[in-house]
Amino acid sequence: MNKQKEVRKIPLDVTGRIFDIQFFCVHDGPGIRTTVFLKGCPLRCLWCHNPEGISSQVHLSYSENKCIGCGACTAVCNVHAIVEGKHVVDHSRCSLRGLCLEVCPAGALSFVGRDVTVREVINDVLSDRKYYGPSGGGMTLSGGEPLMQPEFTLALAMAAKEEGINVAIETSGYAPFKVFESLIKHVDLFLFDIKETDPELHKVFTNVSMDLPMENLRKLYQTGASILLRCPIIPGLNDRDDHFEGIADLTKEMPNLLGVELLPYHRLAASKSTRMGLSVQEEYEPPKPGQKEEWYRLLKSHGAKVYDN
Amino acid sequence: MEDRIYKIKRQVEAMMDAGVRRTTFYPLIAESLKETEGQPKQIRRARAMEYLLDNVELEVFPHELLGGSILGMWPVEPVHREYSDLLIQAEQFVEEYINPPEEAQEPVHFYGRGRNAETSVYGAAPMGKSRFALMARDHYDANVDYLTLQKLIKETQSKYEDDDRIEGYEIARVLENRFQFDYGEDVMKRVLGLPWMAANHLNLNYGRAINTGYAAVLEQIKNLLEESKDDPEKQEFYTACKIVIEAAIRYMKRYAKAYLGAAKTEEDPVRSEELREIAEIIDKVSTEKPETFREAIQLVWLTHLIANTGLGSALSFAKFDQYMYPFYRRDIELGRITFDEARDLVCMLYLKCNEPKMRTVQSMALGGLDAKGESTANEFTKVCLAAARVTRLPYPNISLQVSPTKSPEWVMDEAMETIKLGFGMPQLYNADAWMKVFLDLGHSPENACNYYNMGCVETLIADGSAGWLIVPNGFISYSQLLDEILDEYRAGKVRIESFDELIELMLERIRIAVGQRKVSADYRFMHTRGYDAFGSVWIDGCLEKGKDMFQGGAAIPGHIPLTGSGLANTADSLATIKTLVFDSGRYCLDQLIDIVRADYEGQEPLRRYIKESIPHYGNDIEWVDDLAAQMFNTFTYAVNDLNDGTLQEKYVNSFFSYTQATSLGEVTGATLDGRKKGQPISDGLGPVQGHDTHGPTHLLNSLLKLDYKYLNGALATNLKVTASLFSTKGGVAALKSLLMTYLERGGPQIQINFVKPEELIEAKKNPYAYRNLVVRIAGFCEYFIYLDDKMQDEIISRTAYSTA
Repeated sequence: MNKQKEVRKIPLDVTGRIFDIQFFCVHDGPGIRTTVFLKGCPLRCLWCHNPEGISSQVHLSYSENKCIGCGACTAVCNVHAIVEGKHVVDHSRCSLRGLCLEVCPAGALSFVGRDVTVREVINDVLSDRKYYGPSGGGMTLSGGEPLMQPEFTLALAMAAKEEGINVAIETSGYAPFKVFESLIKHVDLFLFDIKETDPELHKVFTNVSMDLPMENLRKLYQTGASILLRCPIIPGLNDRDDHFEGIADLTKEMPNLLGVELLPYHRLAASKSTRMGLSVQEEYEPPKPGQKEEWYRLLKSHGAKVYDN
Repeated sequence: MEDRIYKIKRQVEAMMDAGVRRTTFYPLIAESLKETEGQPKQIRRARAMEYLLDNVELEVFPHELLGGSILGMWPVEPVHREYSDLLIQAEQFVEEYINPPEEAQEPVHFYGRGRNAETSVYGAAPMGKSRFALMARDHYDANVDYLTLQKLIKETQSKYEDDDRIEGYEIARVLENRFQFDYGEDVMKRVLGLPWMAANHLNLNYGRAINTGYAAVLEQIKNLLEESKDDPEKQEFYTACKIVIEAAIRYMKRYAKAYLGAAKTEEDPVRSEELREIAEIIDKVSTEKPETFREAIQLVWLTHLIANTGLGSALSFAKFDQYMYPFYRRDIELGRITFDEARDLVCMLYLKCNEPKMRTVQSMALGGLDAKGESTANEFTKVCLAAARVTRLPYPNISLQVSPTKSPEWVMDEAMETIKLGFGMPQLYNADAWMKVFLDLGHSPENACNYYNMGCVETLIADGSAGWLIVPNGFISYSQLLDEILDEYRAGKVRIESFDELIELMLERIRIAVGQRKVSADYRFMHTRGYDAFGSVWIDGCLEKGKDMFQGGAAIPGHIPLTGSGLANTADSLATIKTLVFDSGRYCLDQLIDIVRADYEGQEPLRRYIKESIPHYGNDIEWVDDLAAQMFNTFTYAVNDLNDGTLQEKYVNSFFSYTQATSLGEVTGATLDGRKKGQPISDGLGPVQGHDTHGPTHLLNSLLKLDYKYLNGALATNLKVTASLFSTKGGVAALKSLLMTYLERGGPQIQINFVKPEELIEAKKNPYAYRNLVVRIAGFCEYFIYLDDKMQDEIISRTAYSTA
């Protein structure tokens, strides 16, 4: 009887804005997972690897490699033009009517971001249910910053839990703590990003202060939640010894953390930015082969607890 | 010791690169046949093999501990022709093909490709038009080196690019047929006139060979000869058996002498002692039953080698870890061998299988269940997989039979350790599912559990089966069936008013097409014209019945495969018709037919729209997957219905296409899934190349919607993943549970491919830098650099899933 009531309480019709659902994700928490990418993020990391998730707005994306230059879009909308055989997109004029999407035969045009209900997302997540149990996998909410859509995120987590699906949330930690509080009993694992441990550099790299995320991390830790620290490492920015030491200190301070996972920088983001007409990101040197192992060694030498996956 | 394995591996690669080889097989066989003119065919066949075994050259190579090689029969032929001369000759061949001179005769080849006669059955795949030698290994009797041939084909094709008189694939076919050694018309006519048949597409019971020994089997044959005095047919068969077994013993004794001779002239005392030891072992096992593991593996190899001297294709070691295990266990218990020593001997066996001119596709099946359904994987299974991890070669083509309910955990762990090295092995068989389909097919539990991948993925019962019995037009092309329906629609012979009507027509046509392949009770299978006494001795049933395996001697019914091809292309084509004609009404059916018949000329936007925007099979989209499932299920049920007791043999379902995804694609016109003419067709049950965009879990979800109840012949499920998946323990664990989930849900077979596309592109440009790159193709693996250009592109184009 109780269970019945619970079901009714889960607001399956709540909508949220996502930009992708990816299946068979194996690096966003344990096992085989389906990752839902929620749109919108309060941070502006210099190296952002999901630039399509930054803005809360829906926007147009154009893939040059799919375009066949047929010009069908230019006939329906003046955002598009073929100039000297080259397709030019004026993103600033786009009013998201979607006419160009309908006429494009090549699938070169799409909207990044769509509004979906919890029910729709959970149905997609359930399609891979048979792989979750045996692998210890489940659903991961990522972004963007999932906690920017607290109601939707909570409803997704509750609905997944109701189906017995493991829930992980990847977060920058930048949200009011009450959002964390509401989620604790519906989330199995927090993938907590630590972008930088030097307060001044944190502000430079991410455009926000590290006070709130750090405070949230400590509070969340106190509740006994399962937390894994995830640290993007960008050569030339935060691959510094003092940063590795800072990370190690966190694991010493909070010994029950699951550990630290390093996320080496990759360059895929740059092409994504171009497609959406976003300002072009600065590119950093991708790590050399063996670099990741070297970083892990450094981290361990400072006494950090490393998450071995 | 591993050092020795690598030395042998380099030696085997040097053998492959040594140049073209002209065989002494045909002249020797022809000489014998000249002598035996007038005698019964069966006896002439046996005498010819005897003559071959008595006279063939014997090669002894450095480093090896297992003795015996096929290469004595295939000496390297020095080639003096300049490339520019070859190119001129290539053009002459093409011109002769376009304008055949009066009275021109095609040279007589052992492995000629006959052309299909016009056929009146539905859905006949255009096999006769296609070419065959898409890999060096399939290019028999070639008198130019394979890479040179590829260059010749490419240059000649570009010369005739704008010539309407000939298609590119025809040029390739002409050149691969014509750049072959000419052994002389007299010789070839004699050999083919016999006709020469060798046991192939099956296994010989090597387990019985090592538990009986040649002297004992000879004794048995002599007794049978004595007992059957009043039966002339049996007398003839047993006489043939006696001739070949005596010849085999003499051949082995001759080899023992060759090693002894080598020992005498060897300067290094250590190696000399080794050679002496090889000689002693061969001498012993030439007659006696092996006692030790090493003796047993030597006799397995020699028996395999002798069978290989008869030419022919696929020949399997079948359940090697089962029949070798008692020898291994005994030696381990007695302290006569270690795990590593056994592994090295197994490595040497694998290396031998990769020597040039060994049979095309030699396979091995490990693990599995017994008749009671209990796991039979053992310590020696581990040895066999460990050896594969060392050699990493195309042969043997190893399958591991995993029972999701009964196999111990270590079986999958061993599989993952091997899979993660990226040479495509082992392929995984669902032990529960296959045992069940063979029980359902009417095999006894003892036979149903004793199945193996006969060559690539064709699955057969081991030790006593007449093999994989091909019938005319056994390849049924789904795209051909749809084309035929659309033709009839255009001719006003059928009406298609709704999508459901079209589907009904299609399913009905599948049933009819399958029914048309049923052969009559007195049908003579193509190979029943021949004899192979040596093969028959080692196929259960033949000695008891006193009949050659080709004359009905085999104890276990053979399997007749009917193969469905192009399932995904047709499911996606139907999705196109549904979406554009019956749902949106944007096109009428006639328009679409015109467009596809014109190869999408001037319709690139529509073609792209079909590829990008219409839902495709392989993405867990219910309605499209259902189209594929209906066509698959209708086919398999219809094939099963053919097993009505008229024949002893069993019809089985196959969705395996060897290299035909490429070769049939070349001769298949454009299809409504956005595929242009000449492009590869979809492989087996797999999606159209590049149409599976939702990742491996959704692909498997789609595949698991098919009803595998009657999938009892062959299939190859290719799962392509990126190498980065293997960079973490979590990634490997995730892949393992993905595979286990597929098997637990009843998926019959799966294999993993994860080479990096950029590496393949580099290997294409720079072949010798990637000498060792082995890739999984369909049900088998091959060196990437020994694949035809088109095949290489096809491998590169297949989807490799990335992982987030």
